[in-house]
Amino acid sequence: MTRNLLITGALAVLLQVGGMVAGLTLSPPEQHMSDLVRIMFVHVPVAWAAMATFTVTLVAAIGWLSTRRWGWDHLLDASLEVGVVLGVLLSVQGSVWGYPTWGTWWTWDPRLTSVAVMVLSFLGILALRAFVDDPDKRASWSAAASILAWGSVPFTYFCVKVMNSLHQKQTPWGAMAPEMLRVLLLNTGTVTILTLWMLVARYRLARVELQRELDT
Amino acid sequence: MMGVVTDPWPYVWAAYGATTLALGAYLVSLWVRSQPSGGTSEER
Amino acid sequence: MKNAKLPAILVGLSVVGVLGFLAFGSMGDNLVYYWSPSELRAAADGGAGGMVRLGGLVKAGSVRVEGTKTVFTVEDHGASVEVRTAAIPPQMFREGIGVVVEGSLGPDGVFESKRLLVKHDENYKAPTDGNLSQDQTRSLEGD
Repeated sequence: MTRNLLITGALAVLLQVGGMVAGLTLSPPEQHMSDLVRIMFVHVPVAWAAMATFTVTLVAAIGWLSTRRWGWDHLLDASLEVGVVLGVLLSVQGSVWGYPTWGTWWTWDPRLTSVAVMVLSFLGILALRAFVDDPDKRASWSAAASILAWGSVPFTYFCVKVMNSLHQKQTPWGAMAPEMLRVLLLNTGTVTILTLWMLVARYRLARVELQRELDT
Repeated sequence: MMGVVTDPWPYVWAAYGATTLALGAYLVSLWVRSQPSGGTSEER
Repeated sequence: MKNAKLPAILVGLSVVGVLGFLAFGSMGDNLVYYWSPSELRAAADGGAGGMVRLGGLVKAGSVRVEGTKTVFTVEDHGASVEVRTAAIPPQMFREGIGVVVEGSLGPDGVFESKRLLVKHDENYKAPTDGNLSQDQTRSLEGD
């Protein structure tokens, strides 16, 4: 890693730690779920970051298929892996929040099912990439699959609006106490910065890996 | 009192712990893999 | 690089397996996560018999304990169903909250349930904020 990448990474981590400390201390408890509301401050930003990252995957896939520039494939590679990490984390957080709130760790409601399909689809594409030897085919196949898999992202976002689900709908502005909203926005910022940093670091790794692969 | 969660903290710690672990482990893996050796050899 | 192949193939196969299970197993027979009281009442067989999920609001003043079971009424705009459950209610359970119960409508018209889940709505309020139950009732009526 370059010096600049290390310094910005350390800053991103510090910001994230600050956001989480704020999540644990600055917000009041919720009047029914009490301190459980603090899980929202890490869950909602990770949900946003995962879906945004998979949308970066879509852009990279279209970019590769239309230009055949390797930079798009590096971005595809990076966003797939970062998105899957965020997606798995999202499910764990949701499960830990769901048990004391809903009364279950997991249920096949539309939102949870859709997130499972989304994360598993992109995980499958990541696996696909690992066993295709030809870099060109690897890039094209995973790009085509990513465009298909991205359909799960808007479905995940909108399903709670139009289908009966256990998961609540998006909270409209004003339905959240301002002291909580502030902490949520702070954490949305820190998670976004950290995600961008992870994408940059993983992009550089993808570039080095492809170079090494072509050299041998 | 009915309607209020009375033991939230173990779950809060579990969620924040999982977040720290997952992101921390991934950052470490990025760092290891970006070492000149690729993080695979014993000796650089 | 290619020594990573076997794990990748295993992951790939598991993913295909789970997605297949989702497509043909758990989703196939159950595209609707829960029925509202109106929908259950309007079902061709009067809703009796089959295992379903029923979702709605816990009617104010309807909660009572009968032995080891909790009995309450789940309602939406137009209809209501009496529910009897052996499940221990989650801590958030209260009158006016949204619930999803799993079970079936018995011949006596009471929905017998082994599983009781509560919904959190999209409102997040500090304990000192004003009248909560009204807000929650309003926001859950859309479901």
